[in-house]
Amino acid sequence: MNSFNKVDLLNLREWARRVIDERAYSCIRCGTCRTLLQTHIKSFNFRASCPSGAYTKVDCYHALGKQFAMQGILEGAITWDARLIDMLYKDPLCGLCQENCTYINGILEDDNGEMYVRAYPAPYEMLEAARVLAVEDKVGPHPAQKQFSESIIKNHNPYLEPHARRLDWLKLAEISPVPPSEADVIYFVGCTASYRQREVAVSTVKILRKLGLRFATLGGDEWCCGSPLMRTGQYAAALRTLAHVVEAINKYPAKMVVTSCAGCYRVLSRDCERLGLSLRPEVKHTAVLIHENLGKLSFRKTDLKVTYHDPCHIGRHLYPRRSIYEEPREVLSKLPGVELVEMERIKNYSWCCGSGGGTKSAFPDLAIWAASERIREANAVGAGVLVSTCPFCDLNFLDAVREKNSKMEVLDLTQIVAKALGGD
Amino acid sequence: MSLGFKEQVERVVGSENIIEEPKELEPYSKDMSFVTPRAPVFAVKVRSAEEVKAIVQLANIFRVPITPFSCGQNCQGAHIPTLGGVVLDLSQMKGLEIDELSRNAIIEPGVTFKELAEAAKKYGLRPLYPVTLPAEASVLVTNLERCPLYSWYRYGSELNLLTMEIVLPNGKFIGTGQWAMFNRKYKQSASPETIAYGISRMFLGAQGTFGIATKGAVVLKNIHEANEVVFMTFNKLGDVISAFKQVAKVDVGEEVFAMNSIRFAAQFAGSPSEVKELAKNLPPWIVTVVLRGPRDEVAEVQLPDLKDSAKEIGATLVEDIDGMPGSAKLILNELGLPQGVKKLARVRGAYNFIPTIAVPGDVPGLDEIVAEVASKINNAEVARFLMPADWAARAVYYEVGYFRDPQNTDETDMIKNIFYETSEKLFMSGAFFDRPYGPWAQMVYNRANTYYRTLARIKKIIDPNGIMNPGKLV
Amino acid sequence: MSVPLPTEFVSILEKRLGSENVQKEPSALIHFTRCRESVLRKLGMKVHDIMPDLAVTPTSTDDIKTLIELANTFKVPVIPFGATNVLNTWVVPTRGGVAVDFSKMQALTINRDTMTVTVEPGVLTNELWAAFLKDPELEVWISGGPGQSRVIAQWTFGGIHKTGNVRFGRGYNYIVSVEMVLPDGTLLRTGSSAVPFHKDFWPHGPGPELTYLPVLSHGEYGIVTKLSLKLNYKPAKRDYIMGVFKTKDSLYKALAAFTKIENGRAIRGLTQAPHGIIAPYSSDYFEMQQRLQRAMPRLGFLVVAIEGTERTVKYWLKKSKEVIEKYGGKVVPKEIVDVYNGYLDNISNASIIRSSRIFRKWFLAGRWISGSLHDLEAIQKWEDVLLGLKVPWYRPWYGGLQLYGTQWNHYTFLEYLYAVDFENPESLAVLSVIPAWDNIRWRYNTGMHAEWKQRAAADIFGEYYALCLRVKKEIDPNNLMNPGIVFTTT
Repeated sequence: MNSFNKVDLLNLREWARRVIDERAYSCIRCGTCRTLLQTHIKSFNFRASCPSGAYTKVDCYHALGKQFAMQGILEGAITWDARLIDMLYKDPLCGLCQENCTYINGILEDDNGEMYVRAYPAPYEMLEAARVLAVEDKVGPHPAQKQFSESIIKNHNPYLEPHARRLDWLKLAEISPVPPSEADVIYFVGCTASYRQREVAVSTVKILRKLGLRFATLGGDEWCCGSPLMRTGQYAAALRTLAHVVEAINKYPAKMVVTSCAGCYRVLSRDCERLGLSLRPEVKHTAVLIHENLGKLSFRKTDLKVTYHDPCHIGRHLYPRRSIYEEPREVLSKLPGVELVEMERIKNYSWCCGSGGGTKSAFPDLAIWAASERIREANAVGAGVLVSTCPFCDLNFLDAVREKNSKMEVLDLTQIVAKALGGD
Repeated sequence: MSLGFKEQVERVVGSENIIEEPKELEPYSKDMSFVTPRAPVFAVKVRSAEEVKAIVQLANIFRVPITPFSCGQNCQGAHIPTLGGVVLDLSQMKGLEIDELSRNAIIEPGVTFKELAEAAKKYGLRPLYPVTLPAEASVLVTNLERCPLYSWYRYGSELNLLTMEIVLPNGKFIGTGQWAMFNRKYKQSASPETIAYGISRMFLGAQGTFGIATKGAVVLKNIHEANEVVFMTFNKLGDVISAFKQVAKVDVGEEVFAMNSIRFAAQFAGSPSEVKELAKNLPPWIVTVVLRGPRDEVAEVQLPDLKDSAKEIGATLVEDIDGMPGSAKLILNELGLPQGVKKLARVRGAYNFIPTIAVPGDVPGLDEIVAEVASKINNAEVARFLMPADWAARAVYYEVGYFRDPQNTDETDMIKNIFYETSEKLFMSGAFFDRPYGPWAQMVYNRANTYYRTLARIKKIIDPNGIMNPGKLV
Repeated sequence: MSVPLPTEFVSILEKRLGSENVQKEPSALIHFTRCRESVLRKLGMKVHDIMPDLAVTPTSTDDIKTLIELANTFKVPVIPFGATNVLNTWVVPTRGGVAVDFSKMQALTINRDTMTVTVEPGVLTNELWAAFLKDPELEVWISGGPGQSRVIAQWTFGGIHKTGNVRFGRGYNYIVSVEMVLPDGTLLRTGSSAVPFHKDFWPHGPGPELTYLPVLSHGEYGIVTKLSLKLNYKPAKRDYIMGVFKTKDSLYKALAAFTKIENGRAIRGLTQAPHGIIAPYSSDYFEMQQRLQRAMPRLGFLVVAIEGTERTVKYWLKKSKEVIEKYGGKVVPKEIVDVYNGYLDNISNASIIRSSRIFRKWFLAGRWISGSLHDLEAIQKWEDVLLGLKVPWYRPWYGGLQLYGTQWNHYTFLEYLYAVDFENPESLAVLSVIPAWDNIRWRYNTGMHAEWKQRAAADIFGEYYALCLRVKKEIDPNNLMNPGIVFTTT
């Protein structure tokens, strides 16, 4: 069993050291983590794969630099310093380095279908474990991430917003959920859709209703899923909020939990398992739900030229086999009048929006830069709309559009689908 | 000259190999170039690398300048001593060994193209011939000095000389490439690679100022079944350049070059008196493409490809030149055993040429400069030779030549002035002199002074007593 | 460094380069001292462990000049780094100093007039490749080494040419010029660009050649700040034919036969492709690599890479088939040839790196040897020695004969890579066999033999090595540029 996927919550420091030890010493400095591989590069303009390295233009900010630094920490050859914290956290944890690395180094799977390779650097796993170690050694997370972390604990969301206002979006939806005890589906809204990208939540419930699904939210019981805490190495804190969420969901008879947020989906479908939490209902992302039910929906024509951005948390993060790439594309292809054009870096080689892993709060310049790069890529293929299936990606793209005065429209998949469904 | 130096040298080579008579020293003192003649104090005929080494060691002790001389065909003044001293005549070093399997020849500096061709023929192989130089030129020195070869278009200019043995100015032997490893158990291969590859290569183009090459391995190529010559003729030089590109795009031909009418006539006319009249009847520009290979490949692949490509620029291929029947055969003969400058010089007695390398697109402009300066005489009588100098015709060897009567001092002075004026103007307009012989050295190094200073530093450590062909380059 | 860096040096450097371009923390510096040998540390083995004192990310040639001038003033070593695993002690700090990270020097310029491409030292090989992906007319032949390496580092380290060998030779065969900062701060330009107002298009001269000064000298002669390479026309068509032979003798005879018929065109590459090389390049993932390797014939394939017009390719495919069959070989079916497209098309994703990823306990060591067709008998004897060793090491070995050379200059290049089980010290005895074969081209080595390099270099190269040292001493009187590697002691 892969150590990374079996977190030892009682001995987080030892667990983190073990994962780092397994991974970091497998790094052979091949440099595959720097740019897309030759077989995957489609043009000179969009060749970068590592936001951290490409933004800083300092070589040790690529995965290999972090691997070697963590070797030093394990051996006691070096100690924690501000540079190392910067290296570890100035990184959206997109996992493209691991994707490239996997391509080179291969994966073996054990009988459980879990990824397990002895000689495999797995830089994403190493990096997240390094963040856990930083937190356990009391040098992490990054100081700029402490505020949102405290907000999650206190207000159950990272946006410093009052918990009481979590459901305000419902007023915009003009749709009422049923009580959770009567619902077929629990709609887990997520913090970003609740507080920032409310259109996503509104569009989602519209779709759920069109599908004839009786949905409920968790109401006041919906706390942050813990994704920002998990991705910044604060596993113990994440466990507290996630355990609450799991318990809240499990209380009810619904057989399915649906979310429109890639981050929440990743936590619910993968991290629960890793932390030993057992979520009873099936977890489904709305992209998949819509895809499965396309036959039940009829759409009106919407003339849009769109390109689709694969969020990391439902893409690479669901390695090796659970990534969601095709469903959103097929949904878009089925919408009349919508022309889907593909960017160069897509699916498992998708360029990160730049906001994940705590980057949005700690390094907003990096987040905006990465998003701007993505918008440039969307422009290059002639798209008028950049579509994603993650409200956090959407949020960062919108911030970048504003800051750079771009004409690119940013829409979530749920918004496009809802728009195509028309009014009641 | 120190007392005792000549006596020491005599002990090495024998008195019969020391030349002191002024008449006999003439070949060492001058050539067709405008470089000021100067006689050495004496010349020494050496027969082996050991003798070269011994004399160089003596030269260091006695602080005597040494100038190497191979077969005397350089014609840019490279072997003329600048500061007196002694000339080392290497022309008797005729060691020659053909490696049929590796297709190269291990040669000493006295081996000529003619001799090498003869030896290689038995193995179905041939040497790569120089442009403008005759078959009597030294193979080793021609390659060492990076004189342009007809094969540059096909085989590049980087590695026709693979490895060398060199006597350094301090009298020590080194090898270059794999020959640097003297104590190998196994037979050394003529492979150019070695640590600090640049050190191996810096002897090229050095005009003997960094050391004397006593042996070298040069590439040989196959003698082919089919050797077809085709021509394209043009009125404008710009079209010649386009033709080079078209040939390169379909990658046909082993030799590709162009001459203007006077150059063509001078090279191929039956006698000097025919040249002028013949030139009037020839097309202004003649591009020659020599297709070599298996018979069916030449006929069914190269020729049709070339035809198609030529069509794109409205050019047609001809097998013979109007006004010069049998030109194809003449070309093959020249490429098989060049007469080069020997024949060119016969037109009026002497031939002086300016060898440059240029970007293809710049060549028409450079030619206008030549024409402008040559308007003082008769531009139509100024010879031009052009050749793609690299694959893809990405650079062009552009050579300008002047015929003169060496007995006519006025004419010689006039041509000399035009020669150097043209050189300077060409250089200032982007024509590169990669081999800055004679006065060109100052012209080039005054502008490339960082490069020059670096060379000077290397020269100082390699030749601390300044004995090796001093005053030439560095 | 045994003595700390002068604070004045550091503060001037920060002021002139910008403090954001100077890294002082150990977490950044450890990057320049670790490579795949790291894993040996876990076994308690001694591995090179010296860190630089600083790292810098210069943004221009001027920054590099500034660094070197300051380094000379304060006698601080400077170690220029490429990108991949040359930390097998070719480029490592031996006594501290400043490590140079070129990530901020990424300019790439294409000049269609001179048919050149010029790169700064931060440009990676696969970036150079990508720059010509969509070019309708021109291309640059890419070295088959790791795509993730820096162009300048790889091309001056020799480069690997797989199926471009006979046409394009090694990387340095198509260098047009270099701009380099010598260890004493001199900014040198070579070839036609030595003349300030001339275009950058011709590599030789003026006079003696210095364009190749940085080649195979592991940064000890200076830092290359710009490298120009030749471009070529994209051929209308490319194709491949492969032959499989029962005996080495027949394969080599077939290879030699090609040299007798070549006329310098059409055939771009001619090589014996051993399974250890061809499989990694052609695999989508590691397990596929292993399967491909196991499925390959023991001797690998004779690969002929052909390009040109339609007629040219058709003709030479037919001709190659005749040669292969004449010497008892069998032509490999097209479907199988297509499986190896990664190798054939010079895709550099994985290259040798993947070969080392067998199991964690195996450690890759390599020997690259130049020789000639005459050496084949001697090579066979050496292989017999290796096979006769009674130590466990990974078999079969990966090596194979590859015919290299610009325009068929026919010198051979033999690549022998093998994995050594470092949990079994006896297997390391394999490495000691290598000095017995003294025709070594010094391209690759293992970290454990760093000290051996200098002694062996002096023994084997004699006066040539002495000349290299004299040049080094002249242009680097303070012994600052990558000191203690080959041309100086620590």
